[in-house]
Amino acid sequence: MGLNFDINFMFTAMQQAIKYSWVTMLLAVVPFVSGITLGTVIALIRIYNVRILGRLLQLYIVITKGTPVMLQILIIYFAVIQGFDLFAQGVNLSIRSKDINLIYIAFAALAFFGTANISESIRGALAAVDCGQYEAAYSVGLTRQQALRRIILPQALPVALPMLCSNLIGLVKASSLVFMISVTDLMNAALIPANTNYKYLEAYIAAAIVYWIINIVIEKISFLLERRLDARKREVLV
Amino acid sequence: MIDIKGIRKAFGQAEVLKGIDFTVEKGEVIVIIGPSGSGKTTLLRCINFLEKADAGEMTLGTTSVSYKHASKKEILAIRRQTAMVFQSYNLFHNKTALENVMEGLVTARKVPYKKAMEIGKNMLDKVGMSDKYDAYPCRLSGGQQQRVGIARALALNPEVILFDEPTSALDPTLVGEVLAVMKKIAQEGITMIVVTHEMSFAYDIASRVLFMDGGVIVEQGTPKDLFVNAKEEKTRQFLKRIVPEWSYSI
Repeated sequence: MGLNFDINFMFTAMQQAIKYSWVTMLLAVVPFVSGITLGTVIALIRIYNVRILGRLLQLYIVITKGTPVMLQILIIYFAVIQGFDLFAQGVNLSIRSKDINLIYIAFAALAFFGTANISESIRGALAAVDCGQYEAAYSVGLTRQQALRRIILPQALPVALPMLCSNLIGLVKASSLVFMISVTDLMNAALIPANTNYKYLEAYIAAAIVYWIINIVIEKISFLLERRLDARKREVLV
Repeated sequence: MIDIKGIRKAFGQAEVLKGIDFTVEKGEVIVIIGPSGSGKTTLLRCINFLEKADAGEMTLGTTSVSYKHASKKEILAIRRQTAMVFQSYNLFHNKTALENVMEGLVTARKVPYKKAMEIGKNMLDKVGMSDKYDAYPCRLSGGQQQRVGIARALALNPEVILFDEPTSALDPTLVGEVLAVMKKIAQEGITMIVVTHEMSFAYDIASRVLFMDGGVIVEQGTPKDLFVNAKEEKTRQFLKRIVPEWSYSI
């Protein structure tokens, strides 16, 4: 019989995938941005060894790193759904969990996963800045915040960039798991036409190609940013 | 002008400073010598709170602080009256030579940008770096980096400049250019506290030499007192060991 690959159908599925690729990008970018904000705060708390909070955050990171993303999404989904209904009954709200747009749960779950990884990238980059830089900053009279803003973070950013880029790519890929909680993203959209004719291989390959293109673009942007950010390197490389 | 009383500092079990008292008058050049691990650098770092001493008091100009209860505000006030030159230069890697010198002025002291730039250029001229305003630290040699470090300290016009072994990380051929700059600013009457192993330099420019060993000041006096007529046996032993191999003339 041989392999029966319907290339035309692959393009049909790809069209669907492209149409919904903005959902995937949104699912990656929103947790990414919130992850950078929260992750920087977490990294700083851990770098400055804030006692109890630092320990709690370390626990959060260990748990998040040690469990599959799919489980995190499912646990948050069921926790929110059941918790919300209980809460809504308690305060006599007329809306129920089925009225919540599931994409918000997807955002929350991916942010939970992304923040842990992003904070580790940022912590690594901060640790890469020599402590002599802090001392020099303090010695010329900068406060801790000024030292961070003017000296430490600008030096940590170029170091963090490649790691943040892989964090973002990780989020793009992890976002494909939201089909578990029936959000229609790039992957789900590619599979819908295949449900009628069972041409799943074509649909999966179509989705793979679109993911690949998105990630190539992210990597290219990161590379360009890296060149621009690192003034010293720029001076040496030209 | 600087009055230090009873500084103590321990790292875990190891007591590094065992009660140090000393005073510095305006315009004095104090050179601290002593074997490795005698607490010279720690003492220097305690003066601008890069290390927090366990006990003791300090008066710097009009600011008096007790080390145990120093508030953030007092620490900042002390730091803004001092400047430091580091053994490993510690220039800000993300800033050019001129930006390095301007950083403390613009960000900490709120000096207007143009004025800061003028001061910055003057200071770089003074240390002989006129042609390197826009060079990043990684393009400069060790000696050049350290001269920018000195310009950065000078620009702040501090009450006192602390030098933490400023030539120890340098290639022997580059030591001279840094010592020459230090000699020049010492002659301008800037108060300096210098930790160094450059004995002939110490002999040349110090108004007073402090010999430290085991966390205490063993002996102090004019260079002549110490290098020629040391009273303490420990001082004589140390000088005998170190002088022949550590003499660079400038």
